[in-house]
Amino acid sequence: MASCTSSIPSGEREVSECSSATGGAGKELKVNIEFMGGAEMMFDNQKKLNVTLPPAECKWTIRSLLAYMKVHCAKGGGLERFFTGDSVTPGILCVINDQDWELLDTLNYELEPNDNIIFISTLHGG
Amino acid sequence: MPVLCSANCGSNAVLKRPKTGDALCKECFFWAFETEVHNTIISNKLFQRNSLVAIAASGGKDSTVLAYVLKLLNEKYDYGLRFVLLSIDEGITGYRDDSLETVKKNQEDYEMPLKILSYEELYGWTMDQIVAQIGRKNNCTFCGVFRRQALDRGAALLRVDCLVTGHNADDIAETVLMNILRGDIARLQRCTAITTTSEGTIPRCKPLKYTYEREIVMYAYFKKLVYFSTECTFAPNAYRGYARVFLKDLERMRPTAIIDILHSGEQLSVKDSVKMPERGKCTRCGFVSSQEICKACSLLEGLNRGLPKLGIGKKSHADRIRKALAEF
Amino acid sequence: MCSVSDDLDCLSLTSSGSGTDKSLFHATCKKCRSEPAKVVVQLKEAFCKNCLLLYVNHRFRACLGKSKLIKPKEKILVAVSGSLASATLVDLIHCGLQDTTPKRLMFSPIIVFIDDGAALGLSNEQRLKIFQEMRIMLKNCGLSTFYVPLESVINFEHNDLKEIQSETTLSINECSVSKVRKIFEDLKSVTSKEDLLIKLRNNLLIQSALTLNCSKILTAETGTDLAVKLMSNIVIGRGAHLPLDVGFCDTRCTSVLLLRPLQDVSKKAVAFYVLMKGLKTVFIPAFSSIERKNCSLQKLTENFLVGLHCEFPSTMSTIFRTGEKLSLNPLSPNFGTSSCELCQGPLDIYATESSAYLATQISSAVSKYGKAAINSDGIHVMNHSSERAKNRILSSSCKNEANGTFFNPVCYGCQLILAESNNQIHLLQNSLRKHHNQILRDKMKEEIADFLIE
Repeated sequence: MASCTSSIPSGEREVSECSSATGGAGKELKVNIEFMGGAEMMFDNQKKLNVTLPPAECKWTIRSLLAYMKVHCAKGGGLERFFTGDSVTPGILCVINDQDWELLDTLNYELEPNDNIIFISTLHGG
Repeated sequence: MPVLCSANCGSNAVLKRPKTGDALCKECFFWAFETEVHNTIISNKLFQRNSLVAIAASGGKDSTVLAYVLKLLNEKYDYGLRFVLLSIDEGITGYRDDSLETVKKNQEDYEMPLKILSYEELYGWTMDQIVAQIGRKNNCTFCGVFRRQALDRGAALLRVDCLVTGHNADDIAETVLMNILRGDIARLQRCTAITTTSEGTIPRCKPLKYTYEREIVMYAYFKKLVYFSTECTFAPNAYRGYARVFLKDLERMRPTAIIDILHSGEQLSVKDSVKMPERGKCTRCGFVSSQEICKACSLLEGLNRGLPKLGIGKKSHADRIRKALAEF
Repeated sequence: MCSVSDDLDCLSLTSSGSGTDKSLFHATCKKCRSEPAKVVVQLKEAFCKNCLLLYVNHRFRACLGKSKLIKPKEKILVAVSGSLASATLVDLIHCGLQDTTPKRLMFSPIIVFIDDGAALGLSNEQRLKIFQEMRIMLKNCGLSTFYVPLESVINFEHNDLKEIQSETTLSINECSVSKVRKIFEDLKSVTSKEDLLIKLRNNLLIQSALTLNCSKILTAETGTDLAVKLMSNIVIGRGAHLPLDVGFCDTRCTSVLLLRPLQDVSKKAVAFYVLMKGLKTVFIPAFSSIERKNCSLQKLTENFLVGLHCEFPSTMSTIFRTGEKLSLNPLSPNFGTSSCELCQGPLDIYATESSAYLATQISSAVSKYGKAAINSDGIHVMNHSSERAKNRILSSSCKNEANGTFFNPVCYGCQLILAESNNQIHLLQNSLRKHHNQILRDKMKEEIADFLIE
């Protein structure tokens, strides 16, 4: 299995590489996700989601979290409305522990245990 | 199961009109297309009898179809006009050579005199040379400014009464959107005008203003008109590309969106309290300009002095540089 | 011809690039310079929590104050939809009315919530659930709150306005609901549905305002919403009404003005306001939620602009500022005289030269009737100069052979809606006509106001 290089790998590859690490040094990572402004519609109307990310060799980032969510959490029409490329669709804000993700390097932010992540849709009709 | 032409001529339809969705046969489509351009010309009083009209010819589909249709309508409805083709050679190797060949063919086919003006003879620089000096970042700005003036100068040289360009509905709709995105209120007010006149320059008009680009292609295809259709070799402006894709998406969803945008643009009016740039004359070349030194002269000055950014960006920066140079 | 040539000043539009600005990491608030920053508001300005709340409040108060339109003790209707922005508006007003607030607000707000369920095709259960959520959201705002269902627009009566806190269930007029449903299902495109819904909501807001004796309406449209609306309206042929639809003040109805006090605030700022204050919001699906990503011209425009804004962060504000420079077209032959029967906006359909409307008429005549539509000079009948009077109003192109002309006259944008409707929209005709006449009477009254003896 290829090891994660020091450069940030692209989301999906990171998910498969990191999460398939066997006998990994990492632990499970719990994060609390919330949806507002209609974003919940793309996740089966769930306003809150407690996600436990599997252990991985490299650190989970927002980018890899999104890739994980795309595969495991999104239901019914969520995919094309919430995700665009390896990020969220423009118009969907991301707040990490009460801070605008733009202050935290957006997709590259490395997740910590029990981080609170809120996605707010500012688009009409979610 | 063949579909009948919706104009009730009895023939089978061979195409669907992008503008209205009606199924038409070839002949009825030609007739509809030509009649609409005719109505545009008459209702907007674009031409006076016995005028000499220059057709801006690039060898592309718009100008080829424009020349063809104008000639046809002139004969059919006796406009009493004389035409001349005016083509600008930007000096871009490869791109220009082929399109000029097409223009020369147009001249033969449509039996119109042709005048070719080059950037070289007008400004002393070809686009190839300009790009070699300044790179590919601002080259479209240079080309655009120079071409606009080149057409005006050519029209003046030929002593024509009017200059027609092949701008179509898509072009103008896109320009409306772009001017809003850029916040250019002055251009926004002017861009939907079918005729633009300003003191000291020859009036320009756009007979194809309400013609859809797709219909121009369709017309050229069925009439088997020859035109040149490759993109300019130098990288096109990326921002306008976004607007173009957006416009195409709109058209796909609602074909009338293009005309709807034109209608909206025509209805816009600027508040009296908004200050608009005054249109005076360039102190160097005499052409219409809202600045003391027109854009073309500024850009040329920059090229000639080896200061390629002179004339790009704010006027205040250019003035500062000039002042600094003068003091040097 | 290369059409790129017309971009003379595109150089200011350089992309902000894909990399994040490292100067923002762990930044301190730009305003107070003491607290850690929590949100980037516009063009790299980072604010802390308190400064953001102050910023939003300041923008709101400054906008209202600058207009000098609100008088003390004036009754003002506040339109609330459950969205992030309306939650913000309610909170700003609530805080502004407190005794402890310096320069407290002196007007009397009344909250009105319009239930669009009938138009959106929601079931009665879904509507009840939303109603209950709205009740909770507005419970502690300390203001009178009213509820009115959209279907009341069919035949509006004063008791259609119900106090939210005193109602436990909804009394739904199934007959009106079914009429509204028919009208909306009858329209072919989601674009027209969204457009018509906005027109009917505004209509209902004005009727509610008149009933409640309010002389003004406040809506929670943010600067971002208005920039998107500007572009969308251009795309759906409503350029003539931009100053009314997108400007600070909509003056269609002279006795009830509609104001947009959040126009100087971005959607993002509002979202963070809600988050930081822990405000409740109610999400109500729109037409576009139910379908695919780009199902209407308005949604397509929004996605385009929001995407463009990410790369060019001055997009929204530039569009908005362009809109601020626009006024109604005084050269239009019907200026100040006639208005559209559906949306009450000034009529923008008239036969002058260089009009796109004329071109569309010619196109459809030429395609449908062929040579029969043209005289021997090749001119379309409507184009003939001898038949064209300067102030001629051309009636709407929605003529149903079986039923005659429905709405006459209508503006270009409304005409596009009518063209898609098979028939059902005439269910609205009576009430819209009544409303239209009411507005005309208001205008007449204003003209002769100085001469009326009370």
